[in-house]
Parts: sequence; C-alpha cells; structure tokens
Amino acid sequence: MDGLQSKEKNPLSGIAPPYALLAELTHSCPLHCLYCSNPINLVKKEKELSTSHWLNIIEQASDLGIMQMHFSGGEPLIRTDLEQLINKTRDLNIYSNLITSGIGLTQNRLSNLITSGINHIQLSIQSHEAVSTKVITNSECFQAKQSIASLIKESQLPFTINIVLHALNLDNIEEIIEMCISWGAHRIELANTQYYGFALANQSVLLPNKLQIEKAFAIYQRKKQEYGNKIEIIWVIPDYFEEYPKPCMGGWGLIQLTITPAGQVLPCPAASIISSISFENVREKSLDWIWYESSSFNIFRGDMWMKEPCKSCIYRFDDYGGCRCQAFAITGSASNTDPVCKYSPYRPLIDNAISTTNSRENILANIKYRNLD
Amino acid sequence: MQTTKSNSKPNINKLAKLKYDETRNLNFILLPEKIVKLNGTANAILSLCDGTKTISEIIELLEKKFSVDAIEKDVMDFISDAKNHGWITI
Repeated sequence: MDGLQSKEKNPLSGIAPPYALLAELTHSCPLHCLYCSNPINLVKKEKELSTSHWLNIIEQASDLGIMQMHFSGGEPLIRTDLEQLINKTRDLNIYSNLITSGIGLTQNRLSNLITSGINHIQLSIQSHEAVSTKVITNSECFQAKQSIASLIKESQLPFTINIVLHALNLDNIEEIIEMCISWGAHRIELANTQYYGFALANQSVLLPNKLQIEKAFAIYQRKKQEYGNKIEIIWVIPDYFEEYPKPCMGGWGLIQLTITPAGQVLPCPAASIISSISFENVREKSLDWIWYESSSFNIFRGDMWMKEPCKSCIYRFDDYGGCRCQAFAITGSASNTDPVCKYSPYRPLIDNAISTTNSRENILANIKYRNLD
Repeated sequence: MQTTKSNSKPNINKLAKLKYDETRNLNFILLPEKIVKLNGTANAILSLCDGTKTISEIIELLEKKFSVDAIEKDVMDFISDAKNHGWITI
C-alpha cells in the first residue's frame, strides 16, 4: 500500500491536543440505511444532551484546541437548536460542518444555518436514482434529496456530496459521480462501507466482490484525472481489500473525538461497541480530563498495549495496529491486530467474508432494516 | 495547467478558513476534512489572498512588511502550490 514508510516515530513524546470533534446530536433519523455505522442499540430521544450541555461542550472543545466541529447524527437537522450550536462555533472561530441526509432542510432552515455561520455542508446520497435509493434507505427520499441539493447549490455554500459505496451501488459509480457534479457538489466523497454497527449486520448484502471494487476504482481514477483541479474527488479505501489496516481515526486519542447523543466521549465513532472499555460521559467529567487523563483514551495510545504481530512491526506507528473497533468486532479482543492486516492470525475471517461474495444469490432477501419503535 | 499571472487576484477557497489557534500558538488553514499547519511565510501570503489584491500587490506588501526583496519567484511558486492544494482560487 502506498504511503506506508518504514519509519519509527514515537507519538508518545506527549499527548497533543485534539483537532476535531464529531458531535452526534441525535440518533433519530428519517432514513434507515443498510450501512448505518451507528450502534445496533441507538440512544433514545429522552437520553439526549440538552442545548446547554452542547453549548458548554463547544466552549470546552475550543479551550482544548478543537478547530473543527462536525455536526452529525442520526439526522442533526432534527435538533431545533442546531443553529444555536453553529452560532457558538462561529463565535469561537471553529470550522463547522453539517453532515446531513438533507431530509428536513427547507429554504428557511438553510437561510438560518447560513446566518448562524455554517462553513460547509456534507449531503449524503445513496445511489444515482430512486429505486435503489429506496432499497438502501428504506424510504422514498431520492426526489427530496435532489431538491435539497439544488437549494444548497443555489446558496453557494461549500458543498460535499458523500456516498457510502457497497455491492448495491459500486457498479453505478460513473453515473453517481456525474450526478454529484450536476447537482453542484464542490467535493465528492466516495466512501467504501466500513463494517461497524448495523453495517456489520448487513455485511452479507453490502460486501462487494473484488472485481466490483477494481472496476469502480478504475472509473474513479479516470474521473479524477478528467476533472483535475475543478472538483475534488476522494476515494475512501475498502479496507477489507487491502493488505494492511487503516490507521483508524489517525490513531486512538491522537486527532479527534466523538460525543454520542447521550454524552459518551469516544476516541472513534464506532468505539461504543468495545464493551471491555468503560467510556466517560461529558455530564460527569470535563472534556480536558477525558482527553488527557481518562484510561479509555490512554489505553491504546503509544505501543505498550500492542501484542505480536504489531509489537515488533515497523509499521506500528504508521497504522497503530489498525482499527481497535474492528479488532474487537471480529476477533473478540480490542487489543488484537486489526484482522485486515495480512500478518493477523484472524485474516482468514476477512478472506472468508470476501470469498462468499462470489457465489451469493438473491442478496436482497438478506437485507436487515433497523426495527425502530 | 494554466500558469499563474502576476495580475490575477487570488482568494482563499470558499471551502477553507484561516485560523490562528491560541492553544497551539500556530496558524492553520481549515478545510472540510483537513487541517493544515501553516508556517509564518505561508500564513503571511495566504492572509493577503482576499480576492482584492493582485499577486504583484501581494508581493509588494510582503516586501515592505518584512523588508526583503527578490521574493517574487518564491511567492509565485507558493501561490501555485496553494492553488493545487485547493487552498486558494484564482
């Protein structure tokens, strides 16, 4: 894999302040995407943090050195205090990014967001047309997304379209890219599915075969060359098809943190699945203490926690042993090497998952949607 | 690629935002999914890219401010890199 160099650097010369905060305002969402990476058990509305909690969190985040806040969910537009929170980030000169399905974004709401000082909108799409969008989201939302994209385009706000890629849409990547451009995106993120939370439950439906990935990647490269500097197109790697793991979140507790709707503070959005770790809550502890002092953030910093094959690996400060959540979800222990790594004794589990993609039939019959009350 | 002309007026990309961070005592350029640390020179140049000044004017202002001369090539190279990185538009 490119970008990995055999250099040994020790990030433990001191804990650096975090750069970015992912604020999951609510788990409520009008869509029920097959690839949702939120946990199986969602936070209920009555457990959500209040407006004053979030305003206080933004102040603490600014003092801690956070420069970028991503407002996400669920669907953050469901929170009527969103504008108030964005206003606060503007006052503190923090870059604000809204990660949204778009559903609920009216002209009026968009004007309010702009007045509040939103810096960037990331709109999700699921496909290039209505029928498959319905299969993927379990909702009739394609037309609405098209109208919403047009509102955002007219507003001239900086605008990314993100699509999560998997077996059901990879073959249409060319149409998808062209549609994103015609909808007015300044950036396109082609994000291959990460198998956490609900996405892992739907892995038998979502995991593409190798040929699909290779064809789609070739089209991405051709399009990227075709559009050059005019539009930024980003490919987020499908890690199952790599030989080495991704340096998840740029390292545990190194760059960013996530706060769940109920106030749990996580080093990675998927980390709540790691039941062997007790994560702190911002209702009880300061963000500063959690980042620097808590055992949940310190547990996987540096390399003292590593076992073989990571412990003696020259890449250990490049990929940090890969993703702790993936290690936990697939091998049962968060301190194991990410099973994607070719040196992991669990790599056959990944290869088995990939090998089933060549022989499956009627994959739509296996789809699981969230059962919401 | 088009060559950058000295009478064109660079502006910070609307996707980006410059920030001085008090916690780290450093300047940064913030982009949708990226944060880039700026050295003093880069920050001085980018701070002048506001869409109203030509590159020649920016060079002149920098020469005055830092009492230096013959910086034209360095500034032009930086502006061309900054454009390729998507930090500025021209």
